[in-house]
Order: sequence, then structure tokens, then C-alpha cells
Amino acid sequence: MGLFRNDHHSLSDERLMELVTRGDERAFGTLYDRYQRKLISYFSRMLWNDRERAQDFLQELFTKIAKRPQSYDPSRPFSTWLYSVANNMCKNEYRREGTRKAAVPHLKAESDHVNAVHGDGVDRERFRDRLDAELDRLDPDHKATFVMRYHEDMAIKEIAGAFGISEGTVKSRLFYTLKKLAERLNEFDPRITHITRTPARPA
Amino acid sequence: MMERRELYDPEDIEQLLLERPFDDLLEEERAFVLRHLTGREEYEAMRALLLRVHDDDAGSEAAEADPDVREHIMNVFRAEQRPQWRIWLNSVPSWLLPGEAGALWKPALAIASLSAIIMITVVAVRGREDKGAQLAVLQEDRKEAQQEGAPAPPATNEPAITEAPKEIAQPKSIATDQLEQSVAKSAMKEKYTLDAPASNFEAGATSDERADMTAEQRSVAANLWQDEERKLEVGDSVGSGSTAVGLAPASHEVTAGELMSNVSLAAAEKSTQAVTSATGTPRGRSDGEKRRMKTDASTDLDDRGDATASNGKDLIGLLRAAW
Repeated sequence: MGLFRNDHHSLSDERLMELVTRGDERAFGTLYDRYQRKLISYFSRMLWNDRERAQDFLQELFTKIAKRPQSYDPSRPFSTWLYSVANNMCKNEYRREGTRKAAVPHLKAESDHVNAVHGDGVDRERFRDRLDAELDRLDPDHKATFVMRYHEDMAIKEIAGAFGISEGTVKSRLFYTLKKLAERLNEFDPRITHITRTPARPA
Repeated sequence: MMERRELYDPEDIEQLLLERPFDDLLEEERAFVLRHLTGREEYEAMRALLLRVHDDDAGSEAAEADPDVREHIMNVFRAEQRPQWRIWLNSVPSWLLPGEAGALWKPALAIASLSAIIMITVVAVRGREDKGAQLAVLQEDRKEAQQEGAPAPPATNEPAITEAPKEIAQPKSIATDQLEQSVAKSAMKEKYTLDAPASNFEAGATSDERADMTAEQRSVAANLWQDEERKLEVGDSVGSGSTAVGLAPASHEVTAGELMSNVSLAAAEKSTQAVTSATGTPRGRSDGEKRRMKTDASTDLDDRGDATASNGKDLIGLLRAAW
């Protein structure tokens, strides 16, 4: 009888997490379905576009939730808490790697010139690679802030909650990250209509 | 200027970058931007990058994890969880009190439906019980009506000595009749024994007075009790149908006059016996002579006047005290 069953799809994340704490399998599955794409995208961007590693991190994250659902703090929004855990996992991974990994190590941002033809698929691919590479050069927290804001479409308040910092700090980070990236990726400026492409120099 | 500064913050620059090129900015907006940026070139470079990032993100399809990942984590979850009946019990409070106010209608409707079903069931069951009770009451009323329709025993002027005879006027079983007669006997015995307090007479003598009764008075009282008992036994032998008749003596209250006549008769008999034994006259008397003596005694009693009456009254009082 429908009256006596909870409609999990209409419940909030926090409510679902409360049910998960009580052992509701359906609530756990609903939460996974809601966030698995976003987290795959986030982990991919944070982990050098490594899809396999991104899936491993996704599985590891939800396994942690399955084993210890009580670790969630109900006073915080669930999405904030979830990305906070994901960000900490990525930072640990960076420490294990030891060094920042460049997505395209043989390219140098200062000397590359590309055909800035707007709408070109190749150009889009190259832009992504360059963007990722430049993000890898940034501080992990600045990179995570940029990814959360402009790729995950999270609000300033959510990002502040995930990092445990003030909203002003988040705004400042975003502004200076954007400013620095704009300087380094100026070749992709559409105002530059004719750019001569020079062969890439080996690293 | 201060007011304009307070209106804008770095987040607003991001909004301006997304909305308008540098040339379309308002003067105050341009002034604010130039406080944070070097000039038009930097603003346009940032704007181009931001738009490209947005376009790139919108064009890319969100990747989905492999189904194996979901299956694995669900297995882990199941392995960690408690028995399902506990899950169901734990979910009851959350179902009854959902966090969202808009979801309250479901448990409210379910509880209201359940309450209505219970109420209907209770009313139906009670209705059947009431009908049964009403039938029982009707049957009892009919029985009482039938019993009231039966002929009642003849009413007597004197009140009954005991309560049992009143009930015996109604047709009852033989065992019930015998029980009631034994009750009446015991009541009678209690009435006529010396240790029993006075009952149907006027306020009798105290226990001290009873103790002062002469042996003669005691023997008279004992004889009266034996006579009454014999009458009761006669009533028993007649049968249940005549219990009313057999117990008529039990229900008959001895009046003062009767008692005085009996006492005087007994005294007269004794005196006669004493005289006869002294003079040698044969003792036996005929029934007629006895009756005459009784009548004379009663007549003499009436004619004697105050002296005899006062003696009799004293004796009655003593007897009452004894009984």
C-alpha cells in the first residue's frame, strides 16, 4: 500500500542519510544514484582525467558511507559533507603521488599556439587538456575550488562549507584563480583570430 | 563611492564577466572592475575563459559509473546492516513523523483510516452484545410477569416472625422449602430460647431480668417452644404444597393476650395437678373439662380485673426478656 511506504525520490539528501543510518537499503541506493555522475566528473577532473581511478574513488567513498553512516554530521548539508570527504580523498592521493601530475607533460603553456577556431572539436579537446594542466599547477585547494564552482556548479556557501572556510575566502580564491588561468590560457581568447601555430617543443 | 563599494564584491565581478563585455558596463560597474583589474584587456581575457569553461562544461556529457560499482557498494551495505524487521521498526517513527511538513498527510490519512475501521468494528460488536443483553432482560421480565400472575398466598394481619415465610408464599422447589423451614425453625428457636433477645414483643427485660426468671417461667417457655416445633413438623409432613399452612404457626406472631392465656392455662394445669395429687382426686380430666377450664381461665382472666392482669403483664415481660 503506497500510503505506508516512503517515496525515497522525493526525500531530501539529509532525510535519506537519516534512513541510511537506520539501515534503509533503498535510501542508500537513491543517494548513490543522485551523486554518482557528479562525483565521477569531480574525481576525473581532480585525478588527472583518470576514469578508472575516479571510479575507484567513487566506490571507496560510498563504501565508507556504507560502513560508517554515522560519520555524517546531520548539522551540515549532505552535499557539503560529501564533497568535503571527496576533497580530502583527493588531497591524500596528491600526497601519495608526491608531485603534481601534469595532464599533458610535454606541452608548455607559454609557447603553444593553436588555431583559435571557435567551435572546433579538436580545439575544445585541447582547451580541456590545457585547462587541466594549468589547474594541476595550482594549489590543490584552489584547483578544487575552481572545479567545484565552475564544473560542479556548487554555490559559494556550499564550497565554503566543504572547505570549512568563509565565503569571502572562496570568492577571493575564485577571482585570483580565474585571473591567473586567463593569463596562462590567453591563446584560447576568441579575439585572437589569426594565430600562427608553432610546433611543440619537447619537455 | 563608499556605497558603490559596498554594493559590489568579487563575486559580482564574476557575474559581470558572464553578463556583459567591458564596453557595456555602467560607469560605476566599470569603476569597480578597474579597482580589481588592470584594465579592459584583463577583463576581456577573464570573460573569454569563463565563457569557454561554461561552454565546455555544458557540452560535455556527464560520465556514469559502471554498474559493477553500484552492485559492490550495495553488497557492502547489506553486509553491514541489521535484520530487516529491525529496519522496518526503525522506519516506523520516521514514517509517522516525516521531517517535511508536506509529507504528513500520508501517515495522517493512514492513521485516520485505521481508526475508522477500528471504530466501526467496535460499534458492530457492541451492537450485537447490546442485543443479547436486551434479549436477556426481556426474558427476565417475562418470567417475573409469569410469576406475578401466579396466585398469591392469603395475607395475614400479623407480620411474619421471620423473613423466610414471605418468600415461601411463592411456588418453590421442595429443597428450597426445606431449607427455608430449617431457617424458620432456627429463628423460632432463637426466639423462644432464654438467651435470645426479645423480638416481636415490646421492649423486654434485660439479661439480668432473664436471669431472675423462675424455673416455672422457664419451663413454660420451653413448653411453648416445643409446641411450636411440633407444629412446624406437622407442616413438613404435609408437603411443599402446604408449606404455607405448615408454617402458618411460624408466621403467626403470638399476641400478648394469647400468651397470657397460655401461661394462665399452664399455671392452672399445674395447680390442678398439685391439688389433685394432694387430695387424691384422679388426675385425668376429660377434654371437655380441660376446655372448660381454659375458657373459664380466659373468662376469669377477663373478670379478675387489674390484679390478675398486672401479674400476667409482669410474667409476659419476663417471658419476653427470656425469649
